[in-house]
Amino acid sequence: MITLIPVFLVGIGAGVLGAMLGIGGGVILIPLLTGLLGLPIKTAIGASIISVIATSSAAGAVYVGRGLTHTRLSMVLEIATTLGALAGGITAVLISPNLLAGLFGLVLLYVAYSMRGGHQEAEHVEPTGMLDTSYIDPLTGEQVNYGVHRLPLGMLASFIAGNVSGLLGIGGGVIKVPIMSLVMGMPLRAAIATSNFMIGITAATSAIIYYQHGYIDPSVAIPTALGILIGAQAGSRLGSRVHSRHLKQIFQVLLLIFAIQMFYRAITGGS
Amino acid sequence: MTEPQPDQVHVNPHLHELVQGVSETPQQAQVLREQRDVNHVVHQMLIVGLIISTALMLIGLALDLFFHRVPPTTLPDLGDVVARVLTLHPSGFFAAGLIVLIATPVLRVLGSIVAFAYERDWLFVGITTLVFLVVVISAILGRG
Repeated sequence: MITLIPVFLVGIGAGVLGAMLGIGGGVILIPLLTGLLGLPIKTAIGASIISVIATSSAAGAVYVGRGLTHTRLSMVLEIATTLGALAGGITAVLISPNLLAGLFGLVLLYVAYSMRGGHQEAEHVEPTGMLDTSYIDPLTGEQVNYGVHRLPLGMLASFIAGNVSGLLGIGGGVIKVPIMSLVMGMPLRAAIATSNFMIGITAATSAIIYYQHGYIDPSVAIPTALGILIGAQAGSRLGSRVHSRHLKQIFQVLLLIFAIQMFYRAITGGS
Repeated sequence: MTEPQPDQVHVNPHLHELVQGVSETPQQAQVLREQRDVNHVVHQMLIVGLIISTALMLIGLALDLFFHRVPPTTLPDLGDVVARVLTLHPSGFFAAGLIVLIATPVLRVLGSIVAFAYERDWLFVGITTLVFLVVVISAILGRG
């Protein structure tokens, strides 16, 4: 009881911030669970992967309902993301918590850097003869037809995203979405929806490994997952009202503080 | 309802869409109809899995609070889960909720294999089966 409520509140906070900023909750959740509540990093990673499955299933269902998800492409790329998650999950249970904290610090720096200018949209979206599909743009109501470029590069990025996801318990959309949009030439909306859809099965692949190794602590994972589902709802409503540039700058500073905390943990070895 | 901002990587859409679906114009309806095959199956499976797992977790929390137990920090062995659910043990509901949650995307993959086979799209039956095999390998290699 005493432990459930702070964890639940941290889940809500991570859900609100993640949805407002458009990044996965895991990037915020893990530093809060370790830094604020003093939990071991492997417990935080185990709780985060569960939350990632929950949010991906909820958002994934909505995007599929809106017709934005490229289901066939996601199936192809999932071969790479799940292989990456398999390797990452096995590595995560083997390596020291210090090393995990150090790697997490690097990912936090990358996320802070990637937030500098927002995401750029692919310049020309057109059918390519490879996995052509279409969706209705929710703003204009027009039908957008597009295909896929450079599938092998997309597979490589998906493997890396899956690997980072399995290793550190985050979704990995921060890596996939820019590649899918800029390199594979997908419209940003479709890239976000498709990336999010793939995250569920990717996270499940490494969650199976964490579960069997006892890294999923139900007293942390369950309040976190429920909190993040609720927080994300609130965050997606608040998001449009807050001036996003200021919010981003504040958040970049926060990410840097988180990164320093992780590096400190990596050196001092606070489990 | 707010639309996803272009600069958001993960957008968390509103849960009411899960239940109500998206309002459709005739044009949208036509495109959606073409995608209804696999996507429809996937959509339903994700929603049902999420509802069941959330319900199990909430029951576990309610039982935990009701009996004033300290929340369990480890999960029971897979074989004990059903017995613990039947004896109204919170840890059984926690484990069952987590297992259903983790199984939801996996069942979504199995459902897509069936849906692709129904469409006689054998290439995608093969691709999706590969994804499922990786998950099976992970379950075998991941044994503690």
